[in-house]
Amino acid sequence: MNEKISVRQICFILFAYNAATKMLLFPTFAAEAAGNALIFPILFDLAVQTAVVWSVAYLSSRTDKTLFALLEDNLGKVAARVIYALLGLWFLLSAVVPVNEQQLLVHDAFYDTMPSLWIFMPFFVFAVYAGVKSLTNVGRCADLCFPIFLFCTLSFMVMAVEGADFTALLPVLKGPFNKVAGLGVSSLYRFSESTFLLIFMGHYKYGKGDAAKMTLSYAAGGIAAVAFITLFYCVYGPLAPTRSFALSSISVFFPSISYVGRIDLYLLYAFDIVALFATVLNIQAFVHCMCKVFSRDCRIIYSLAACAALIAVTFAVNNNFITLQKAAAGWFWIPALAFAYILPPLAWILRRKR
Amino acid sequence: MKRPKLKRALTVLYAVIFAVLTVLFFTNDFGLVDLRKTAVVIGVALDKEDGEISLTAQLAVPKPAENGENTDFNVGTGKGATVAAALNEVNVKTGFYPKLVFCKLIILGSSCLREDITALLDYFYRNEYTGLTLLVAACEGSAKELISQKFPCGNSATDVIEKLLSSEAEASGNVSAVTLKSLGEKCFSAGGGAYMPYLENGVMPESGSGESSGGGGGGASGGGSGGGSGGECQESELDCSKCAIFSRGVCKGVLTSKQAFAFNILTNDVKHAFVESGEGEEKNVLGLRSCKGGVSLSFEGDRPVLKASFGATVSVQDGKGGFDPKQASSKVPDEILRRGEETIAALIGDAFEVSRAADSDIFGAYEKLYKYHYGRYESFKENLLDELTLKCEIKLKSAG
Amino acid sequence: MNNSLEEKIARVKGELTSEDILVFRFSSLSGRNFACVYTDGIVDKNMIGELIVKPLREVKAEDGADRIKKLLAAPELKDGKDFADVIERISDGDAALFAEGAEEVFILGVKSPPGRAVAEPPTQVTVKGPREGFTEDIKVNLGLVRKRVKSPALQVKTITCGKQSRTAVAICYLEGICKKGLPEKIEKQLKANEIDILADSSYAAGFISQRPRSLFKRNATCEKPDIFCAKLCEGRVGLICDGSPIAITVPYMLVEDFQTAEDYYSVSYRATILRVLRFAAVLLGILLPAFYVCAQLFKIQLIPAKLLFKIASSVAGIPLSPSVEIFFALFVLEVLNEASIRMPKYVGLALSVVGALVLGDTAVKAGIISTPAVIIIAFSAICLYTVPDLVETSATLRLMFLIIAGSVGAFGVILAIAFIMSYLVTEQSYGVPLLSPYAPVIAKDMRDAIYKYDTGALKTRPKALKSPNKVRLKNKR
Repeated sequence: MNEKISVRQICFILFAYNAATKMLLFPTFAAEAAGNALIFPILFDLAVQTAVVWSVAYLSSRTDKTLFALLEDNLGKVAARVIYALLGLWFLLSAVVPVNEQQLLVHDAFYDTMPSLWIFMPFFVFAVYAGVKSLTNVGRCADLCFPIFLFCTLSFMVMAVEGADFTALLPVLKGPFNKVAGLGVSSLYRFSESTFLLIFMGHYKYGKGDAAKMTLSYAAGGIAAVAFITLFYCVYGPLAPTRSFALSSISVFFPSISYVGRIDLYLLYAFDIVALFATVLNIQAFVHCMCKVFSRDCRIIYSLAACAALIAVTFAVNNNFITLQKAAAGWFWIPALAFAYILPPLAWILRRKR
Repeated sequence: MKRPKLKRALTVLYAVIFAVLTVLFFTNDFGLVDLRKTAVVIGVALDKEDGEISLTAQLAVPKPAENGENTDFNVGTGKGATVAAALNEVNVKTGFYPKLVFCKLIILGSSCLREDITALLDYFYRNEYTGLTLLVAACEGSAKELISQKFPCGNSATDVIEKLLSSEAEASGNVSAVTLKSLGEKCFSAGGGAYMPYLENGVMPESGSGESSGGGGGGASGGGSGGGSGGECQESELDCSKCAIFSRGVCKGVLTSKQAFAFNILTNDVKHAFVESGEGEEKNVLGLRSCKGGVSLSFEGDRPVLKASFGATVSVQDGKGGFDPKQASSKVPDEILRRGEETIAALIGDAFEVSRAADSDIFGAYEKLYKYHYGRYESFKENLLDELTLKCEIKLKSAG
Repeated sequence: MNNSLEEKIARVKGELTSEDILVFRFSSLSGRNFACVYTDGIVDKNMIGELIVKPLREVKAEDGADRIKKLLAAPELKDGKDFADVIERISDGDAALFAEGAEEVFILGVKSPPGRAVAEPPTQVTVKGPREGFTEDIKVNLGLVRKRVKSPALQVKTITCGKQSRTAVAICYLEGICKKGLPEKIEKQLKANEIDILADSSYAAGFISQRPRSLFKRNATCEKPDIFCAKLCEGRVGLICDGSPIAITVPYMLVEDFQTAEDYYSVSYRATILRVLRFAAVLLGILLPAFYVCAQLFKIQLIPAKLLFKIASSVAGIPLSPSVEIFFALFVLEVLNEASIRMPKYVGLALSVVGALVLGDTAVKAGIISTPAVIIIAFSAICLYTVPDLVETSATLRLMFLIIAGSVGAFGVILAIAFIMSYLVTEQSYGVPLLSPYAPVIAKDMRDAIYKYDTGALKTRPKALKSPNKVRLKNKR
């Protein structure tokens, strides 16, 4: 299977997928958790993860081997497999929140009345299909998603500016520190894109300045998400926590909406294509890891297994998303810290032979 | 798994998916509510009766029509402990599922104003499907009666009120329109002061001349002009130039048309307005253009000062002194400008005092204190309105 | 071969037993006998008289094959390699000349099958630009190509396909511009398929497609020699099949179908606007019925309030559910479409009147279907025909999306779009990604994709085609 991906495609993933996953329920969650100070913990998380992304990107300039090969060279096959299995589990775990957010978005924005959970099940058919695809496919999908994301996000933001009151962010940093710090810690798991970069290592040809390109793309994507979240808060102010999805509510005060109808919904649907690909990227990464762990290219089985697990979780947390969100905010940062913040810099310790 | 086997399995899977979709497609068995089972609610009136919420929904009921639109506007009523329960009763009574996605208006009857309206509107804030773009207005008497009224040209009450509260009307300073979002923001702000237009029924004289209750004592019929235009339509009998003011969600009073006008030119994006100034033979109606109003909070020493500033370009619209062709194109005399400034300042002062007396922070002083003077917030968070001094800076300049 | 003329003729007649295989016997002035064997109806008999019989009157009894060859005035003259070759040539429309006392059999190209003249193709009409279109005659078609590309680099490799039809298929490409090995690969794939008859180029398209069962085609078709030649010059390989006015080009990129010949003959801004329009129209044509059903069934906010009230008025009282109503309207449209194409011309005209007026109008008046449903389906059909080459795919997709929309709703539609995207991004046509230059992004190729630069700026051939000769225009800009 062709597993080549280009640096441009990685940049698109780090920009568009990174931002897209943070624009579903996260704005509401952040508004609820930190009020008008929401921007600072998010920026903090973004800055730290950007540094980690840089470390992985820069590591790629020193070796053309995959992470698995590096681990194998240094620690042996068994250890490499164990680490990849854990990494795969992390990807599966980090898919739980996006999948359930996607499910809530579907129920909220695609239907007028609450449909049954079964209506979301076709997502998993797509997830199984996309899960078996190669990294080349992942990259090319990002090529298509990038302009869609750019167009939709810019449109959302332009339409939202009309109803925004930027004084809603005042007073700056006067809220309780524990809330701000709490958001910073609890949303650590949402900033974990460096793990994808670990998976992409060795599958792309590193050129001069590519580390900077990737790092800047990630930072730009994060800033786009921060700008969107900020704008959402400025539109709704203290009412922001009452809106589940920023995407479906941020543009409703645009004057033309009253004449031409909810054009923002069509934008949301287009945006959701990007969000879908961003969500299944976790499953694709899981399948990639499992292929290495078992040294067998039984992608369909790994993909089916991942989706079966996610279906079980989705049914388990149906109508209990707040519980899931609280649990995620409460302890997901621990594995996130290990896999997305500590493991990538640790990769520098591994001996590299070009 | 061997590839041919996998391929066969996939083919079977696709066939099964296709079959399931086709069955769903033709049976339409989704358990969802489609357009034909839906009652599209365009406006909601809320009253309190015997401790229960009485909800009257204006429903758009489409009638079969070969060409064009043929929609009747009926009302459905329901009662319940909550808005949701009342809506459910509408469903039970009409057989149609009421959807609020196109709801444009909420009218609160005077019975609702005695209690915390945020509790009443809770359903709308929670409901993801309604959106917060709905206009909210209070009315004198029963909201149910108001929304059930027939209006000329086949317009529904909701349409008429929506026109009265339109952004065009707002730009003339005659209406203090609020959406559910802005109402919520104000109610949940540091000061908790809020306002909304106050609709009165049947107060418009037939001719529309003479003393009007319209904004700013102005000549325009102001808030009462939105019942439809031209043709056989009669002038609407609704007046929305007054403004109900709230503190922490409870109605504390009603600003008169003039006070509401003064409030509107400061807080709304007014483009053009009219104001009367002077007395007797010196009475003039001034046309205000390029209006720029605002309220800010500052401190003079330890004393909080609410600064109301307003500027506009003025032209004389008409006057009791009669028309003098020689002066028609000349600049507005300073004397008239000064009188205009005094009139506006007095109106603002009136509005401020009424709101202070009602303990309703409609000028957003607490919010400004919290956002821009956070250091003093703790000191004044209980008594800012009492300590506040109003300073008006009105600058009118002649057009031309 | 046996020297006896009668034996040879008997052997040929033994193989070609059909009555339209004629044997024309004649003698030179010196009395030497000849026999010309040909297939009636596809040869020009005047040419036989002028190019064969007349010159051979001078042949003497002792003249050998060289002398006969010299006397023959035919520009297409070949020696029959063996008996099988002779039989094949006769079947193909050439004449075989047998001379008494000569061992050789002369094959003379006097083929003149009945055919129509070069005319403007019905599916690729242009206002500005050349109006010539391919015909069913491969020789005419190759002539039209040669007329435009006089370069010695133009290579035409003719092979025969079809066990019974023995249809000539010409593989055309420009040596040094086309990717190496590609023509050979196509030839190999064509030869790998043994079929009775190659009735049309679409058969060949199926043979050379790597995924013949896919909904998305892997080759472009064209009816105009100017487009065909332009594609050869970009580095593609073209196939012209005898008996088909539609030529095939590979490798194929999806974006090709959104381009028309006229884009290159008009101002680039206009071309860009039209391409965007075509793209939007196809998207709208595919998705409009689906979203209309979604709006009615699942999310009424997709339609503005006032329009919704109009629609609600129209659909009130319709006995069919929204999805079945649209399906029914689509079904009627497809039936009308199919019948009006197949019906004789005059009946077809009457049928479209009956379909449009009687069926449509009466159905709406009778309250069986609503006016918006008719408008939606009619508009969708018109939209799809802005890109006629994609109609087969887009009409199928429209039906697919409609069924998904009616059963799962807008989420199903979005998932299906994502599914198609995921499927298409790695699909290839002879190593060229179908969605190129957008996935993968090839910035330079985007100059002539949906956005079109002016011709002076298109200096290089499409990078995706991997042509060994990259430059197609040199100028000082």
